Amino acid sequence: MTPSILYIACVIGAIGLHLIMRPHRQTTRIIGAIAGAGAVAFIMVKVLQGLAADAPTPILEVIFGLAAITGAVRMVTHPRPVFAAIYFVLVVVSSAGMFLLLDAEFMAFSLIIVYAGAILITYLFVLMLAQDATSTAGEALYDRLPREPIAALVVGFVLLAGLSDAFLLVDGGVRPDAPGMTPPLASVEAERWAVLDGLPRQLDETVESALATEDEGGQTPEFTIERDGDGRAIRLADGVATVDVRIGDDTRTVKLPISALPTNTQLVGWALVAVFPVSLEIAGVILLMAMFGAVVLARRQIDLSEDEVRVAAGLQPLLEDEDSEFAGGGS
Amino acid sequence: MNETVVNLAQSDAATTMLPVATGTVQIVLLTSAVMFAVGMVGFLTRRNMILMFLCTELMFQASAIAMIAFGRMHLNPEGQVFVIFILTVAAAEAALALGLVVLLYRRKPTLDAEAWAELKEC
Repeated sequence: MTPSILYIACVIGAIGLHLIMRPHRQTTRIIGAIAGAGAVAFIMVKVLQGLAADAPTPILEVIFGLAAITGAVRMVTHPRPVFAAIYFVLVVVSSAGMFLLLDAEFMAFSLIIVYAGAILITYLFVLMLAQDATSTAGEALYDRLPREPIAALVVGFVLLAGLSDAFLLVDGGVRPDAPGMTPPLASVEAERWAVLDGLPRQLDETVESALATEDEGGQTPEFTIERDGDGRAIRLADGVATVDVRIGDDTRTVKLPISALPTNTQLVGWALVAVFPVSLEIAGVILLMAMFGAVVLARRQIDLSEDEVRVAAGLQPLLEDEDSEFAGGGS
Repeated sequence: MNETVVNLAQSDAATTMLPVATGTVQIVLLTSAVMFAVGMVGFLTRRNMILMFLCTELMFQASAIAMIAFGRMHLNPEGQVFVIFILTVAAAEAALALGLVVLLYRRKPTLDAEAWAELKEC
């Protein structure tokens, strides 16, 4: 794929989004949708063509990606705010699907719970509270007319051209199969055994079940795990992890099965508390401060006088004189 | 080494140690780039204050996808940890922004951001 093809596709996508965004006739919007979808599909086909012949075709990724992009475009262009929020749920669900494909199952489900379950519901509540009383049809004029669409599209799609250029074109794009991109298996494995080393209780259970397997169901004796001077119990040699255990007076070497490696969720939790403990504390403080801030903001009462409420509702004020004794509290 | 790879592929707990397919990473990164650009266009063009904040959530989402993809590519869990922090910031931002919107709505009963254009410097 050459840069010019990518840039032309970006321009076509921008024109398509522009046609969808303006309150045109229905046919014009359909043409815009076809142009945008064509541009995205064209780049995806080009990406798939650039893969090695024996590489697996990422069908599910393409489906989730198209669903996420469709949801995003609909969310940005839909004239009804509630529908836009619901299209954002589609985006969240498709990105959760992509997280699953990237082996991040904990983040996938917490995304659905936190985003689709909590944040989106808050948005919908506020939309309901602040529903524009003047528009009966639910489509306010300011929701249908975009503000400065050309300038925004230029900014957005120049950014998109730059980003996709960096992701897909520079040095053949982001390629995990390029040399040096993915760390060697042995070092990743050593890292993960080290995480298991930090989880004493799970290591105990692993050794116990490994002992039971080696003794073929016999009574598992009382054992203690031998640790070296640095507190490490697991030793790695030729890709095989072993633990020395002391049973009574004699020492035995137990081989750990590869299935005893910590799962992805455990790795995330370990990184959270062992690598970024201060960030975790700061995140907690940020949430607390946000809660205080929201309470302080929402507590403040705006005291409008009766006349100000009338003016806001589009009525004539009853009193001409602002300083009249009937003018009320003011703000 | 080959034997280890075969063993890994058979074990559920350890498939995350194998390198990810190139096509997966490229398609996911392309999606995240498009989502970020669309979210930015949405933030600049929508006039509804609530939807402007929703568009920032879309941009958060796009960056979260990119972080998970890069974390998976380099086989470390730190990309996912960053997404947890993004969720934190998004939740805090939603609480504050929506409190602000409710406050502004009480003052002028419209969600149009242009109503507050006087806050602009120029």
